[in-house]
Amino acid sequence: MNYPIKLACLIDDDDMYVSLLTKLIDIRKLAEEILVFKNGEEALNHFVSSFKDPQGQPVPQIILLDLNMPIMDGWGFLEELSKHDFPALNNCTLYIVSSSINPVDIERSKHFNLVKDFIVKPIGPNELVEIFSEAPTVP
Amino acid sequence: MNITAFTMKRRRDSHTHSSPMEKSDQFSIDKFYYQEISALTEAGGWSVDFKNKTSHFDHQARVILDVPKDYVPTLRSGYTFYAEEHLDRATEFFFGCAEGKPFSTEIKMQTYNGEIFWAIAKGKPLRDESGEIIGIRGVFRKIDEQKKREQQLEQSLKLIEAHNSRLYDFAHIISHNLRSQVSNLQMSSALMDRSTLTEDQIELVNNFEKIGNSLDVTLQHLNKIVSVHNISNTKLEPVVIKDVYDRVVAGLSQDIRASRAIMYTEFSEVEEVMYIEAYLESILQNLITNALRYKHPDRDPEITVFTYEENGKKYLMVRDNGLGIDLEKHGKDLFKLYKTFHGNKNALGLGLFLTHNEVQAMGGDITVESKVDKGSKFIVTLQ
Repeated sequence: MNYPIKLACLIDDDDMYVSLLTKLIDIRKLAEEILVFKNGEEALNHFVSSFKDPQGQPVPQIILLDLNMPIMDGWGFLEELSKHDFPALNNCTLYIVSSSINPVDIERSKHFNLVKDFIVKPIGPNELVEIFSEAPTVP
Repeated sequence: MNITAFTMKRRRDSHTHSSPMEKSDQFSIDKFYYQEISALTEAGGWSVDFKNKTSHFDHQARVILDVPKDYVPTLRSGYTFYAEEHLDRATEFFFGCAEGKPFSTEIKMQTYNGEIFWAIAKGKPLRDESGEIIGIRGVFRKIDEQKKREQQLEQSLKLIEAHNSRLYDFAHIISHNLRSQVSNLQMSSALMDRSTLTEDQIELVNNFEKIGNSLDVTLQHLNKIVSVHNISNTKLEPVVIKDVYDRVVAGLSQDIRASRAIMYTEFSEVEEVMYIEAYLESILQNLITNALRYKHPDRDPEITVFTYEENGKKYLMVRDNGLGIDLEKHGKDLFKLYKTFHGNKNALGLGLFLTHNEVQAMGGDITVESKVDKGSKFIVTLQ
């Protein structure tokens, strides 16, 4: 079976959303594996340690990042990750996927080079297929 | 007493050309006014004389401070008429004045019997011919009622601010947190595999989907309303009206072409306005969209958008030749939320509500003139 994506990453504290999205990804066969973190800090710790070690875990090709999360929110995650200059991130597309429809949030997201786009929840099956097939393929 | 003599002397000096009869007349008239005004305004006068080490209260000061009939103020007794918490301030003002610095302040005073009240107090140094400071003269006015009202107002303002911020939090929670739930509901029903369900079950699942979608639309409206109030604190900037208009029309170009509308504009009288650009854009967008949407079936829409100035105020007008609105019937509901007037299924009753909110947030107003079958005219007071 050919999956458009080898490894996708969800950073979201909403269990139901994560389980729904996982189901959708499975049904549509969009990614072989899914990495899930419940907040920005968990995700950051994982990435910082795995990026430093080139032999470490594989880098996801796509990250779907929530904004409103406990401990470290999406903005905090982006700010921290931007401080590091990980070459591995060049092969990774990051989308903000938030239920926020606040124009201020959307404007703010444009200041991060890491962010490809801002997607307002709910994310539909067609949209999901689209962004997964646009993601860079594994070299 | 000493001071009174001094004022009387000066008064005589300035009237040397008048006859003795006129002098005394003028003096009694002045005295009458002075007494009436000081009683009316609850303002008392006082003075201290450094040379003779005496102090004087005028009649109204004695009334306000409620001193006994035989009370004789001394140089130091002035201090007993200030509330303890403001005594330091009073002392500072007094010594400053003795060195030549006049003062004017709001301060807490107290009567002979210790009843506290707010007052405006003013003091000026009194100099002799050589310029040496020989005393202080001052007035104070009881402003207790005024001060109390002011404090009540301040308190209500704080209360309203607190309410407002709670309301904002509430709206934020609704529009954000509730949206997450709704979006899960939408996703769940979208994911539901209909093929294994019976017809009845499919209908129910479809209902879930519809409920989720309409809830989502409602929340988006709420969010729009919240964001209007949210950026009211943003700074105003000069906005070129034609630029905003051009952008709006570019966005609506398809609708304009489809309805064969003719647009007339004139922005030469008011080209620029201090505004929040996003608001002006939204106002123009809503008014022009309405003009297109409610066009008359018998004729192509003609929409005129222009600005003008009248009595120092700047106006924006959007006029159309469309269906018009029965103002007698709908006038009072025109700018209310979820009110629609033409039986149009796509009408949300949100546009004019938002427009009204935006105009008001900018300190302006919006009025409408309309005749059924003739057209409508919306006039926005910009500034």
